Amino acid sequence: MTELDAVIHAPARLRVVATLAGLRGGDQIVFTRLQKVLGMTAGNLSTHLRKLEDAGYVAVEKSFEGRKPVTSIALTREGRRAFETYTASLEALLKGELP
Amino acid sequence: MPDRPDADLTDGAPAPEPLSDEPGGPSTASPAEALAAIRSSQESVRRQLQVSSTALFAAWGIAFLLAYTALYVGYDEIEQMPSAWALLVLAVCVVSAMAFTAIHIARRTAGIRGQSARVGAMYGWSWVFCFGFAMVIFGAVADAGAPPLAMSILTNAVSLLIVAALYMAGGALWQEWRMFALGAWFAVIGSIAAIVAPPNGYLVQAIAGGGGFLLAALAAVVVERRRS
Repeated sequence: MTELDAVIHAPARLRVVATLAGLRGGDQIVFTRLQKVLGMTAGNLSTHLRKLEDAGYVAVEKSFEGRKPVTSIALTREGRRAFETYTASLEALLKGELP
Repeated sequence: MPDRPDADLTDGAPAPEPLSDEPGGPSTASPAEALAAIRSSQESVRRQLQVSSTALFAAWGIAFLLAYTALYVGYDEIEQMPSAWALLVLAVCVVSAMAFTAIHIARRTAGIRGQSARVGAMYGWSWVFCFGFAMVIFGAVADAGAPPLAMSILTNAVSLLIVAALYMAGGALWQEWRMFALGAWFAVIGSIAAIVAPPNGYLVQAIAGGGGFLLAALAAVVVERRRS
């Protein structure tokens, strides 16, 4: 097994990914709600989302609800898989299966 | 931005910023700390973004218990139907439980878009249309000259039929076995209540129906505890 995924293995991004992984498949969460759930500032959350998006782990969709711009966020399939691999690696590390 | 140690990983509280997790920075959380952070995020998702079956079952359990007890106690033997005050208690209980359900779901699912929002909306409209249809049936049957006792049995049985069918369908939809079991249970006690007939049928529903909801709420608490 390789070492822990550096994109996910960063405190704030780990919380973002773990929270998004809690949504049902096929669901998105709007930026402002995610921000509230995580208790992050908009700037901080945007920075981390951009990194996750660059890694292909998160899909960010901009749309309009009436005249209001809405940003919706979801984990991509790769993102979900990366999170599962990351969690499995952590568990393996804890059990002492990995060096 | 000054760097900070990553100690805030261990608690579930909103992380203070700025966070020192720039690439190449010290992302030194131990596996145990990282797993704890994942667990706490999952717990906060459950608390903030997921509809709580426990809360809904408990609300409807109390509503059932109060409403059907009122219908039983307030049954007018001469008129062969529940008295006005008992029907008022029923209405207040149903409206309160409906309002609680709507507010709870709206709060928990605010900002969630996509598949489950569409599924939830369709499921919600199923209730509206089915009960609308039921009202039409009740009106038509009463107009056709059905006696009060027959009306009492019919209104109750049809309402429970809808609850049973939609709970079982909802259980299948969200793979929520407690909801499915509750639906099946309502089909059984609804049948018994129809045979026993008012007012004793109401007592059956107060105890078995309200009790069923409260038991399901209790089961949900036990399951949630075990999961966390």
